[in-house]
Amino acid sequence: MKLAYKLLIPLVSILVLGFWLLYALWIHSERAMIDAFEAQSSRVIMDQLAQHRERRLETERAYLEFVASMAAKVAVEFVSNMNYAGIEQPISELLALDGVKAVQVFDATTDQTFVAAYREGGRSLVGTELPQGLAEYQQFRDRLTGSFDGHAVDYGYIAIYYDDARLLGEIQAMERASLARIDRIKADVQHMLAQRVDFQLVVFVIAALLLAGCVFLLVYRFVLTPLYALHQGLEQFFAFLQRQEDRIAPIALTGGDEFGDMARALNKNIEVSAKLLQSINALNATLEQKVEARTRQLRLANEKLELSLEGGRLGSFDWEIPSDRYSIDERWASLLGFEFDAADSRLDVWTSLIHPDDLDPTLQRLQRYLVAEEPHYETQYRVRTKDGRYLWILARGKVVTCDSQGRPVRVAGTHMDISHIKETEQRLLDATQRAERALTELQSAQAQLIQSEKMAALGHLIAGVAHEINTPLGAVKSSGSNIAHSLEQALGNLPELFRLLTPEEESLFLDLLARARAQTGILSSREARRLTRALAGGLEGQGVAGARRIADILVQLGVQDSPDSYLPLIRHSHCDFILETAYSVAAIATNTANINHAVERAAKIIVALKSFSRHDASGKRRETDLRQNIETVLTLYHNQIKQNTELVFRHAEIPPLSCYPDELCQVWTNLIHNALQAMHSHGTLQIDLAAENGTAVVTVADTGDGIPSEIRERIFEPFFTTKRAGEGCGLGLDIVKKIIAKHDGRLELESEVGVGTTFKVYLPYPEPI
Amino acid sequence: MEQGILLCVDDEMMVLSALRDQLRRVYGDRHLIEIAESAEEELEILDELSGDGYIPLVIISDWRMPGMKGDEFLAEVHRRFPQVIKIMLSGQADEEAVLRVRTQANLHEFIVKPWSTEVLIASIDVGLDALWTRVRS
Repeated sequence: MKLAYKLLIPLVSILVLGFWLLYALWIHSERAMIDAFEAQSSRVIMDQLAQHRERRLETERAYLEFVASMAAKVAVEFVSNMNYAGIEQPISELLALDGVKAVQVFDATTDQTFVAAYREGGRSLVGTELPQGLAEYQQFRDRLTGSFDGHAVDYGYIAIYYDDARLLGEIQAMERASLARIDRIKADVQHMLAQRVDFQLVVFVIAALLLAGCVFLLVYRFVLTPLYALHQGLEQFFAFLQRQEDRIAPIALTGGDEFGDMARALNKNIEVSAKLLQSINALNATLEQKVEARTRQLRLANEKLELSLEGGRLGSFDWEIPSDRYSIDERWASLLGFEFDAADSRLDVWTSLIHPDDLDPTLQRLQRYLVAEEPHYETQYRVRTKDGRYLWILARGKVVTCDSQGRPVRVAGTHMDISHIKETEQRLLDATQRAERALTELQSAQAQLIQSEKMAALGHLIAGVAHEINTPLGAVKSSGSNIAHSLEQALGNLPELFRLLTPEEESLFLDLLARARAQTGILSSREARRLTRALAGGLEGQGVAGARRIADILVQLGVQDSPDSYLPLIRHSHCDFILETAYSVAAIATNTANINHAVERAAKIIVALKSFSRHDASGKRRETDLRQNIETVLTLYHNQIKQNTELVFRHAEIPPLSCYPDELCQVWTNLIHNALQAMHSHGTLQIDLAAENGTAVVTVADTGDGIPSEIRERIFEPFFTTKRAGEGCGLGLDIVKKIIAKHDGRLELESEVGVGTTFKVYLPYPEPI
Repeated sequence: MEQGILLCVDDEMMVLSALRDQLRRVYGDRHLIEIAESAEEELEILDELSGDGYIPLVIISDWRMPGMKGDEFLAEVHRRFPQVIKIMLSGQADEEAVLRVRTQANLHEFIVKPWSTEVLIASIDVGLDALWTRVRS
């Protein structure tokens, strides 16, 4: 509202000044009017006063003329009669009149003054002579006319000398009083005017201020406020433009006047501008983003460059060939520890720093590049730093200027400190050598590990094998003692028996023994019991005493099918003796068979153990029957498999495979062992042996837990194990994989958690040479 | 008439067969000798025969068997027939398992395969003597 302040003071000033001027003018005209009025009234009054004086003077004159005429009439008598004495009286009376200075009666007949009276020093003197000096007074003369004999006779005249000074003084005093009164009125008017001036001034000032206020208010309301609104609107608009805000309120000015029009026009403008600005902003934003992104990239690139220059220990060189000026940048020089005079150095100064071993190859390379034998100048050499160390640097350069004949005159490029790379290379070389050594060691360690894994598996087997061996041993031992006892009993009983038996009974007994010997297969305990029970029931029905015991023996002898044919023996009074003897004889055979069976079993285990633990040092493939190979392992695992595990081994007739049998044994051992563990020895272990497309395929399938997919990849990793500590070192499947790889075969794995796992081993038959 | 039974459990028929002949020779005239190829079967026999009035006297069990292991089996037998003389006859057994069966099933004796007939018989006799003593008192 600066305009308001600007406007307020001049406006008030102008109005006050204007009013003041107006007022002054008014006052002036009022004064002029009053003055004119005063002058006019003064003139009128003066005129009137003059007229009044004239009239008084006229009246006085008329009076005095009348007096003179009257006196003339009187005097005529005196004169005509010559009565001098009588006349004195009237004349004195005349002289008593105010202003009458002298009176003369002139007698024309005598032509002498008849009488003269005058005033002297307050006294009336009557004489015949008039004093001098009466000329200055007014003279009223009247003829003395009388009649004599009917004839008008002129007797002379009477003159009255009149002094109007007193009258004039009187009139003047009156006039003066009138004028004084008028002056008083004037003074009153002036005073009144003067009094009114202050009040009027105040009123005028107030009026001026009020008017100014009103004008200002009007101006304020109808000019300044809209102007201010416009100004605010524009300010906002500019702020909007500057701050680039999203939106802007339009100018709130809706009057029908020019300001309103202006506001509407501006609003339109603002709206358009705002839209424009928004689009510009949008553009800007995109642009800014792009710029920012670009800036960031540039900054990153710059930082990288800086870093690579700094961290990469990179420097630049510049060689001007004609002047042999060879310079490197200061930072690089300081990195090398030289206060290298970059401006005044020569190539030989630089080459003097090069390691003697690298000097010739470096110079040769540079030379070859300069004569364009090589497309690039890039070489590595060692440079001596100030502290005497050698730094490996990678120099890369390029001819940047050639003369008119195309000869290079300036070569520039970079030097990079590659000591750390060289160091790393060296370390890498060392590490590689160490790794190679370690690998060799590891390979031998691995061989040991494989062996130890095998021994671990073996160790695990030992417990089972102890049982496997001890069981047949126990059977052999017991059966041996049984045979001895049975033989003893049989030999002791037989002579007695044959003496007791009739020939029919004897042949029946021999038949019984023959049947017992001839019996094939061993009955399961359950089956034997069932038969015994049934037979005992039958015998009891026939009234046989000790039926159960007899039935038991008959079942053992294997004649449960036809007990009736042996009734004579059963009903024999020495039944027990007969059957005991028969049992003893039969027991010799059954125990012998038992021994054979046990021995076979033991032998099988021994063979399996032998073939399992044998370390084939020949390292040569041997033609092997895979079925036998697998059975060896199955034999060793027999005792673990048979516990609630159903074993299904399906084997097709396949040609022998040229392989490393003991190593394959290890494969089967691992797979079967894992399968049994996965099934917790409950389920079905199915092993299939087949050949297809020149490949032997061994499938080991279990109905175990399955392998969770997250560890399926890991199970082949060395030392990965899900077994408890001490049960395996986690090398099993790694070894399996290696052995299969050694046979150029492959291993497939299918597994479903909760359903089971199937390993398929594919072993190709080697191509016939 | 009450009759004692001697029961053998082993998953190997050859062992059972040999055991049966051994036991029959010594105890056959007095007691019934029964063999079973698994603990489960043995429990069946026990149920069956004890219903028929037979009294189980001696149980000889292998440790390593399909299905129920010897220690579990003997613990079960002990629960049902605490008087029975329990002998474990095994080619191999966990020491822990043996200890467990000793404490939980009041194992009479642990005999390792291959076993000696005399040792086995003596052990049974000792057990039976003790049993008779207990029964009589």
